[in-house]
Amino acid sequence: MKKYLLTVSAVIFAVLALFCGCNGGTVKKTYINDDTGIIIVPDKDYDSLADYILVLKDGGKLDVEYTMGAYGMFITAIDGKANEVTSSTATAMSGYSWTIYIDFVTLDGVIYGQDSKICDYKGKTLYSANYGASALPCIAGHTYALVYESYSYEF
Amino acid sequence: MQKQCKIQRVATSPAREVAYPAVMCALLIGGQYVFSFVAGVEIVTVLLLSFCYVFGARRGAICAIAFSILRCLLFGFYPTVIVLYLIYYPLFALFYGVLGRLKSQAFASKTMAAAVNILLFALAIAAVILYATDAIKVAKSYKLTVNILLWVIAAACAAMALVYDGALIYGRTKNTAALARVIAVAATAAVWTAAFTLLDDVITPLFLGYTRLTALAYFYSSFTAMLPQTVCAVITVCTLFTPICNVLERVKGY
Repeated sequence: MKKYLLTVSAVIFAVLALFCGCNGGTVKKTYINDDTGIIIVPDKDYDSLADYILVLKDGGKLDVEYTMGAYGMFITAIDGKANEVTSSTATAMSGYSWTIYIDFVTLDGVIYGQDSKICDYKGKTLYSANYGASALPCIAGHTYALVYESYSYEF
Repeated sequence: MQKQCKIQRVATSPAREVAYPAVMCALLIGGQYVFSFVAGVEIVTVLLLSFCYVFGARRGAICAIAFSILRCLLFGFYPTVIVLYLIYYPLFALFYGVLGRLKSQAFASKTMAAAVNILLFALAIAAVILYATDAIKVAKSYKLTVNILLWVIAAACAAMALVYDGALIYGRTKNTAALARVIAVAATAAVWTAAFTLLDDVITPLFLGYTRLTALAYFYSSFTAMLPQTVCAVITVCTLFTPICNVLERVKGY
């Protein structure tokens, strides 16, 4: 009987582990510098962050809308919060947009993060990404943040 | 007895003086807008250089300045872009305006041959060195495209040098000078196109106060725009420069 229970438990855990593996990593909704943010930590490597975002979308973990352009995936909305321009004149522009932050600056000699635009998440420094989701490498264990932040430019 | 020839200069009417740059400015804005949907493709270089070549530096500069400011109505008023355009395009107009004053035969001269060969050789070597040393540090997804474009630029420069030198050595027809002119202009257009991006790599980080690392990232990623635009400039100039110049010469002659 004991052997039987152990076998059943092992099968259940294996199926659960497989299920979790298919959906990949963790997705946590939070606030970063008072802005709505989504922290993503993949549990395995993907070719790009865009690939992983699509996996999360297909798995129902992330409600994301996007367009595909010359530079790959462009996130237009997450959880119904869409990029928007609140004011646009000849000399100024302001609004909200989804920005990607990553926890590394360089990787294999390529500069992926901006050291001049950072945010803090639980004591960890995150850097604004120089590339879009399609060009960012997605590496297991690294932290990626999608932050709905305001912007304001004066020309 | 010496005969004195009176050369009567026919002044261009003020209406034409305004109309020539204005129409070309409209064409430039239209051309830039149409191709803004296709990354790496642009037609402004060949249109403006042909205009400056035929109509001269002064009208070219007027057109370039009008274009630099009026295009902002479509693409937005970004100070870095306005500064970049107002520095780059008047210099561009001046260069091709001066080049347009050269006689056609000058493009087949020894001095020009040496200059064109050095230019093409330098461009090809630069492309090969950038590939061999893996100097352009861009994301993996752009790497293949960048490497292919570097080889395309090196091959295009080698091909142009071969055609140019072949035409000068074996050419016996009057088209030799015309062919030499097209290749010389295409080679300089490639350099100007690359210079445009490199100038932006200086202006934008200075204007926006980038850190050294961010400026370096901006510099590397700019190659993804510079290389296809350089290839595009060479192709459009080689194919469109002569027909556009012919059309503009006829317009000027009316």
